[in-house]
Amino acid sequence: MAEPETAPGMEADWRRVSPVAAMDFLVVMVRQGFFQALPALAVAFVSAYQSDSFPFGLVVAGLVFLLLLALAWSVLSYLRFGYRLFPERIEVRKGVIHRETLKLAFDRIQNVSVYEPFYMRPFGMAVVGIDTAGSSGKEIRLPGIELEKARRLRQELVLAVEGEAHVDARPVEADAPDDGRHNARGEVLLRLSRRDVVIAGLTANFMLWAAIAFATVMGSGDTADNVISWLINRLNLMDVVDALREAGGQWLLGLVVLIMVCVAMLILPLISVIGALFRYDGYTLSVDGDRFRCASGLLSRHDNSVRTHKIQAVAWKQNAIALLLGRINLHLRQASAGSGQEAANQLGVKTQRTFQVPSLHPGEAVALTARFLPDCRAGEIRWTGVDRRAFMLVNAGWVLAPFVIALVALSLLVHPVFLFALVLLVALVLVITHRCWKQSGWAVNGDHGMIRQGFIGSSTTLFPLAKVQRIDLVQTPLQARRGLAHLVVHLASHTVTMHWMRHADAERFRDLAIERAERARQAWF
Amino acid sequence: MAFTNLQVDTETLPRAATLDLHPLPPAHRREILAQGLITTGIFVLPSIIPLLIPAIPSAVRGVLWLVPVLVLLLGTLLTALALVRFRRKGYALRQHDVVFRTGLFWRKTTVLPFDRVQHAEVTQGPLQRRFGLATLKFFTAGGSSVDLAIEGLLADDAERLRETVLERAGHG
Repeated sequence: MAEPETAPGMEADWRRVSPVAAMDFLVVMVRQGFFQALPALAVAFVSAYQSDSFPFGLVVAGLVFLLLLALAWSVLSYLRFGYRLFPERIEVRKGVIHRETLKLAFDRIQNVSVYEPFYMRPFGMAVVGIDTAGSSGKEIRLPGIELEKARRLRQELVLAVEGEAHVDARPVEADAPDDGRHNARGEVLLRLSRRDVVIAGLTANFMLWAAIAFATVMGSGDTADNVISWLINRLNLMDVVDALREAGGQWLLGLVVLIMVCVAMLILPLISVIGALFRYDGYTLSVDGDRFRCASGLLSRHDNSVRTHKIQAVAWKQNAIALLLGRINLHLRQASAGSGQEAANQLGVKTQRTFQVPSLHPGEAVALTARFLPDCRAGEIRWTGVDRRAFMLVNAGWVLAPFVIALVALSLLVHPVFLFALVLLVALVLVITHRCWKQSGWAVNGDHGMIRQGFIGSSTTLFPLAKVQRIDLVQTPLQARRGLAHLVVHLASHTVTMHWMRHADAERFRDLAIERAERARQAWF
Repeated sequence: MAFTNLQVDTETLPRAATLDLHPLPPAHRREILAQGLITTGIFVLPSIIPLLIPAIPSAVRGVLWLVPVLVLLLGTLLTALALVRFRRKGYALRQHDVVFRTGLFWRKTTVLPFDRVQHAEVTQGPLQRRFGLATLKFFTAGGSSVDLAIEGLLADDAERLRETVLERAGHG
C-alpha cells in the first residue's frame, strides 16, 4: 500500500537509523504538540490556578500518560522509519498509521544541512536536513545518523546535486579536529571570539533574541507572542496592578512599573547575550569552492551552507547599539521557496533558514560582501539621497496631522499649554523624519544596486542587478508633477523599495537593472 | 567613479518609458460597465425593498430613500473610476520582457523579463467568458502571489501572449 512499486526483494535496501532517532521523533512531537496546545494550556492553567481545588495529581497523571503515549509513538515511528539512496534520488519512508514514502530527486534539493541537537551530541549522532525547492518548503529530516556518516551523506548529496559525484574523491572533513568544534573544509574566512558573540547578542533585536533563546531550548519557531501572552496570563498582571493601586495609589503603581521597566531593560540584553552564546558559540565561516558554510552553537550545533549563486542579496543591518559599537550584522538572503510568508505565520513551523554573519567590523563586512557578491565594492559606495521635501512632507505630515488637529482642539477648548506640547511634538517628529531622510539612499556600483533605509542605525540591501526578478515604478500625479517616483525592486528573496527617488533616476535604475538581468541570461537560482 | 558607470550606460540603454503601449480591447470596457451595473444592482435592489413595505412610517421611509441613492452614486463613481483606469492600462512586449502599466492614482509600470517567468496561466471568469476576455497571470520566484496580472485581454490574445512569453522564457 505504502510503496506499491517496490519489489519485495528491494525491501532490504531500506537503511535504518540509530535508535537515538526515537528521541528526535519524541522531541519534534512534544515541541509541535506544545506549540499547538500552548494557547489551550495557558487557558487551562489560568482557570485551574484560579479554581479552589487544583487537581494536581490528575494533571500530572494526565501529562505522564501523554508522555508515555508520545514515547510509544516515537518508538513506533523509529521502527517504521527508513531511507535509501538511488543514483538520482533519495527515498524516505515514515509514518505509523498514515504511512508515506517520500521520493526526492536530487535536482530538487535546495540545501543540505547537518544539525547536532544537544540530545544527540553525546552519542556522536546528527540530523541531516534536506531542504527542497518545492512550493511546500518542506524539509526532509533524517535523524540519528552518525556524525561522520552524516557529513559524508551531505557531501554525497551536495555533489550529486552538482552532478560531479565521480570527480571528487577527497576524504570528507579530513582536517576536522576531534572535538568537531571547528570543523571546516576549505578556507576559513571568519571565526568569532566570545567577545564578538557577546556583541552579537547586544546588537541584535532584543525580542528576537529572547525568542531564539527560548527556541534553543524548545526547538524552533517564532514564539515570542505566545510566550508573552502566556506570561501575562500566568502572572495575572491585572490583579497585581489592581492590588498595587489599592495599596499605594497611582504613585506606587508608577514606581513599580518604572522598576519593572528598568529590570526588563537590563534583563533583555542579558537574555539576548545568552541566546547569542547558545546560537553563535564557536562561529566559523568557511568557504569551499563556491560553497559558504557556517557552523556554530553551544549545546546544539548548527551547520548551514549556501552556494554563491543562490545568494540573492546581502543585507547589512546596523541598529543603534551596533552603530555605537561600530559593528555590522550581515544577512544573506536566499530565494524563498514558495509560500514562505504563510509558513512563517504558523507556529512551530520552521521558517526559512537564515544565514547570518554577526558582529563584523566595517572592514570585515566589506571584505566578506565582496566574497558573497563577487565584484561588489561595498567600501566605496556613493549614496544618492532622495527628495527631501516630499519625504519630510509626506512622512512627517501623516504622523503629525491627527496630533495637530487634536492638540489644537485641546488648546482651544482646554488650556493653551497644549500649544507648547504641539511645538515640542512637531520639533521631535521633524528631527526624527529628517534623520530618516538622511539615512535613505540608493546607489549603483558596477553591477550591483544598493538601497538603504533607517533611523538611527540603518539597513542596507546590496544586490546584483542581474538577479532582479521584476521592477515596478510607481508614481502618483503629484509625484509626476515634482518628477519623483517610488522604485520597487522584486528579488527572489524579498522586495526592496526606494521611496521618493527622482523619476529620471528611478527610470535609469530600472532600465539598467532590467538590461543586466536580460543580458546575463544566467540562472539566477 | 561609482556613479559615472551608470551615466554612460544609460545613454544607450533600451528605455521602457518610450514604449507605445497596447491599450486593452474595447470589450474590456463593456465588461467593466456590465460588472459595474451588476454589482450596483445587487446592492441597490435590496435597499429598495424597505421602501415598499407600508408598515414602515413614511417619515422613516423618507430617510431610507437616501440609501439606494447613495449606493447608486457610489456604484457610478466606482465604475467611472474603473473606466478611467481602463484607459490608463496598457501593455507591451519587448524582445526580452513584458511591460505593463496600470493604476489610477498610483500609476505603476512593471517590467518583467521573460527569463524570470516561472509559469503563466490564463484564467476566465464567468463575465469575462461572455465578453470573450481572459486574465493572464505571470508568476516569478520568491513569493506565492501573482507577480503580474493583465486583466481584460481578448482570450485568444492572452493565450498567444502566454505561449510567446513561455517560449522565450525557455520553458518550451
